[in-house]
Amino acid sequence: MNWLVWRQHRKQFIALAIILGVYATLAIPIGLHFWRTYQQALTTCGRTNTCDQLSSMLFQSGSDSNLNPSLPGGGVNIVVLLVLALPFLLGMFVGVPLIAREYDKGTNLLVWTRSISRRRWLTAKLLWILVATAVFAGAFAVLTTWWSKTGNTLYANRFDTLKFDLQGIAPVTYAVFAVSLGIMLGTWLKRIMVAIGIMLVVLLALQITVGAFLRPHYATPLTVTASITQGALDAKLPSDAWVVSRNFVDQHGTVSSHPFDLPDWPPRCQALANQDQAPVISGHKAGPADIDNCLTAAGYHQTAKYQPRYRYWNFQRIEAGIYLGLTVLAVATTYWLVLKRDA
Amino acid sequence: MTQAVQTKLKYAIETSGLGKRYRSFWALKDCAVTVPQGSVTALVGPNGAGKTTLLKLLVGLNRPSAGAAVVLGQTPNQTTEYLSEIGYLAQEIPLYSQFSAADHFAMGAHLDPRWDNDLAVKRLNELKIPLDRPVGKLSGGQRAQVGLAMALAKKPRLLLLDEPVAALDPLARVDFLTSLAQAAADADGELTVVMSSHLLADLERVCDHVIILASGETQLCDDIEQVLKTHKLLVGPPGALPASNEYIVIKESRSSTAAHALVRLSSLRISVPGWHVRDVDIEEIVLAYMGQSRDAATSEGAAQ
Repeated sequence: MNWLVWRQHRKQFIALAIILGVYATLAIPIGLHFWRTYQQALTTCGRTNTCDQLSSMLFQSGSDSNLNPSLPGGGVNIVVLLVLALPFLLGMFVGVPLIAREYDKGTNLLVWTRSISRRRWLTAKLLWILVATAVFAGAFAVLTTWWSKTGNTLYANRFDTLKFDLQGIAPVTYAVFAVSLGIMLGTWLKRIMVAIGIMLVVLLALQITVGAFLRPHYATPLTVTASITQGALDAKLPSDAWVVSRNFVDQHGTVSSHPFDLPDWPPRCQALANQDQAPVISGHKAGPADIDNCLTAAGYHQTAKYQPRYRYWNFQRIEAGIYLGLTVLAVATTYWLVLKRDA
Repeated sequence: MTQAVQTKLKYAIETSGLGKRYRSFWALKDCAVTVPQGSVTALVGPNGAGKTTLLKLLVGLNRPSAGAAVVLGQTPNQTTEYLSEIGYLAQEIPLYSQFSAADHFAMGAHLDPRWDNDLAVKRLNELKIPLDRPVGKLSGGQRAQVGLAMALAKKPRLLLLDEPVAALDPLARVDFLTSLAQAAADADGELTVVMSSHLLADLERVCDHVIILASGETQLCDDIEQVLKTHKLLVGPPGALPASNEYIVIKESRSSTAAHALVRLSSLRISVPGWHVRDVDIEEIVLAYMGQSRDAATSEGAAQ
């Protein structure tokens, strides 16, 4: 069977190797360039005492994809897009056609009437393809993690979608799941184009759901509370934290994502905000700081929930576990379809 | 030991009550056929008669909804022991179009324990079919020969062919049937062949046994010589053929001058005063059975 899988899919295997080679030739110079620029900037900033602004100097908004003109930003955008699209492309070109094409051409009837069971045939195919996918996506993730080192150092929130989805072990499981989903849908529907369409929609919906709704809850977020003074919350939040939510809380415990309006304040704090009749407090006219103090005394505060950086690998493992679980489901369904359904 | 048991088998295939339902539609129902060991059997019937369904049930590709089949003493299944005994050529002869004939043979060598590569290569060399060209670039007749070689080099004891010549031009068809007849003769009774076709002329060339399927049901299953002996055309004066227990009328046609009735005889002796008894060929008999089943289906439909 190994011979047959290699003979049938060698073009795909070679194409994957070429794509990996192209990615390496793009990513390695970018990574080196980033690191060198960063090292140079470190020595310069030491002299000018601007090292705390290094992040904004090198990265306009702190994200890898928006780079200062001093770095080859355009190329990086393309690379990031390619890596994000990888599971989708693998599902389309490797997953769906694997068995759907056999049904389409009728060759399943040729190979299923050689002298081996369908189970052995399917096991060999799945094993080769899924292992190849894992190796390929793994190499991609290693390269991405490597060239993102500068960005990871400067811009500390590793939970950013453009980091979390591209680095570590989670993206490897995205690719493996995408391929297994493609195989399952192709087997089930026996029609390549329809299966591709459904696979893309399902995968996109899943990625969005997991990223936006599940990931923030893999562990109970930590909470910080601060006075309502502007910046007080940020001062208390670790700079590398992933802030899941920020809220304002009033004297009654009402939670709002926006600051409370003047009419909702306690009357004595409202009075402080009244420009014309502002009372004099310890020798000066009441200002914003006095208003903040008044509101804080009345029980107003801000809270934030966040995931600390040390949870990064735990989150990666949880997400990888989710996708591996889904992969097992897709593979089991494929076995069921191939073994139990009529040819 | 196994060999001794196997050679004792009278029938390569024996089915009873075999049926296959797709949703509410019975593609094959209550099918009872026997195929003697070593015979070359034609499976004939119009399109949609259930020929492909029956063959797929026999190979074990599909599972029956009713009844059972015993093929070479086993229930069709997906084990190496079973599959290595069965050579199957599916309809439209599926092959990997990117693979050359040599690639296909390498696949056989990897997957079939009794694979006879010399046999496969020799067959194609004799027919001057290139071994190294992708089969997608070969002619239909050449592809059919590659498909047949794939099935034969497996050294099966039962060869099941689904409409192998349907898409071939007349010359390629004759070549294919000649190859098949040769292979059956070479096997010296060790190979049983079942070939489905709706081309009636084919079956007389190579077959000694016939199964007629129509509307998912078995109409006839017998040795061709026996079929020819027991089916006669009665020609007589216009008017109804007298009822008799000596025969069953399969098809009747009347004109103003004469009446024709194709009958199956219950005994080999027949005499109907005023009627002539004529021999008929297998094609006429098959057509009569197909027509009968179609008429029955029509009247059944009308009754509903």
